[in-house]
Amino acid sequence: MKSTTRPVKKKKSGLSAISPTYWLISIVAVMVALAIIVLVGLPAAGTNTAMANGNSLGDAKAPVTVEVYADFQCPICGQFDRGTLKQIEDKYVKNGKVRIVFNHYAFIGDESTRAAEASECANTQGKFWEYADTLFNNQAGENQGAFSDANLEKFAQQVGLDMDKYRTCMQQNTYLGKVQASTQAGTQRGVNSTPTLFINGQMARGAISLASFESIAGTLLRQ
Amino acid sequence: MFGLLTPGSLTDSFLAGLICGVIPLFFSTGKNRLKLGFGGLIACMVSGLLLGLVLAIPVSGFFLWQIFRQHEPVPFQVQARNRRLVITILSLLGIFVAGYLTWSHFSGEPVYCGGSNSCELVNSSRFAYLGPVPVALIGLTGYILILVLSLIPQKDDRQWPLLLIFGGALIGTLLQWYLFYIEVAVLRAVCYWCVTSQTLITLIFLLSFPRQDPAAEEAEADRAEA
Repeated sequence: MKSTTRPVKKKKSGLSAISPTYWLISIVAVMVALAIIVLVGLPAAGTNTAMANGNSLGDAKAPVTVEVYADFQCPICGQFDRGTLKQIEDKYVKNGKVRIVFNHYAFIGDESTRAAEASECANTQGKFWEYADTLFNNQAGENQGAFSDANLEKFAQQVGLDMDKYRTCMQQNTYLGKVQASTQAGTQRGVNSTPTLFINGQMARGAISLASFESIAGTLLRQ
Repeated sequence: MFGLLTPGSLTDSFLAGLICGVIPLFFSTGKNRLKLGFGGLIACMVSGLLLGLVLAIPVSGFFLWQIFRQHEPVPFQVQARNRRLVITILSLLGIFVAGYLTWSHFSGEPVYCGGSNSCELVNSSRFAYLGPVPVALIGLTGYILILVLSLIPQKDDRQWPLLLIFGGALIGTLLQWYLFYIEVAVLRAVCYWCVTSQTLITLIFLLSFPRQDPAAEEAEADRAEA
């Protein structure tokens, strides 16, 4: 039997074959990349807070403004609020591209007007959007008591309003004039159904999809 | 069919072809079949333009098959030279892609994106900026640097150009994959131009990945033994 005295050559393989210089470069590269990623991602933390300002949502300097004319009793408005409007909020409002402004178009009945007034009373306490969402989520038929004063008060409690202030606000019809003026202004602008949007002034009727919104706002979104 | 002729769709098909085409080019370096690699790139771009991915994928597969039919061992030096040449080509393609996106930023022209707004959305999102600087401009600068470095003549004792390409490509790859994550998870819109750039920088990174010359290694081991 033939035997060899030559030691078995130990082959450096895999990562151990890579020279220390490459390791050093890799570590530096990873750190640079992480630093850039952190810098790119940073504004995210700042823009998510304090988005709401009264009945508007988003950066006042956003290139696209979406004015929504809606009635709290209108079921399609509810769908739109939960659907496209939330998508727009996630995709464009948070990054400062779009501002949403809610305008009342209370035309279905008395409960529409009372609900709109209540939302404005909530607005004075900085809870317009919470209250509006609560209304949309509690729709149950039109003018059938879903938005009776008692129910509106219950919603006010749910969103944590100061109830004394809320009751005074509602009893004095503080915002009736504002709701009526908004509805009238809508009619003058050609609104006759809800929801109706004005995307930088361009009218779009109905609960449009995110894709339709994007196609209308497409060229404006890059500004 | 007419839709294919619109600039947007044409761009998408072209980019799809380009992505399919750089894969045979990438693998042709190790097999010393650069002509097949380049042929594959051109054929995929043309077939992408004609029928999009439907034709570009099989064409890419065909060229890969042709390349992998070659079994003879290729000397390390030849492979290294091929890799550098392909890095040059890929960085030129990268300059084209990142250059277009940068131009779109500064000119205000919308990014052609097959009729969808995905590219617009991605490139106008806040993730497309590092302070006031568009990310596309950073990419363009990176590709230009890689191109310049890849053109520096290679010598055995001159390792730094490849070292810098490796470092730069690693930074670029990590950034591109982060941005891809943002596209998919946050913006929910994928931009073809960005995916193309992501493919290019990842391949450049893989090509610049440190490799040990087996012959030199053996010689070194022998020396150590002696």
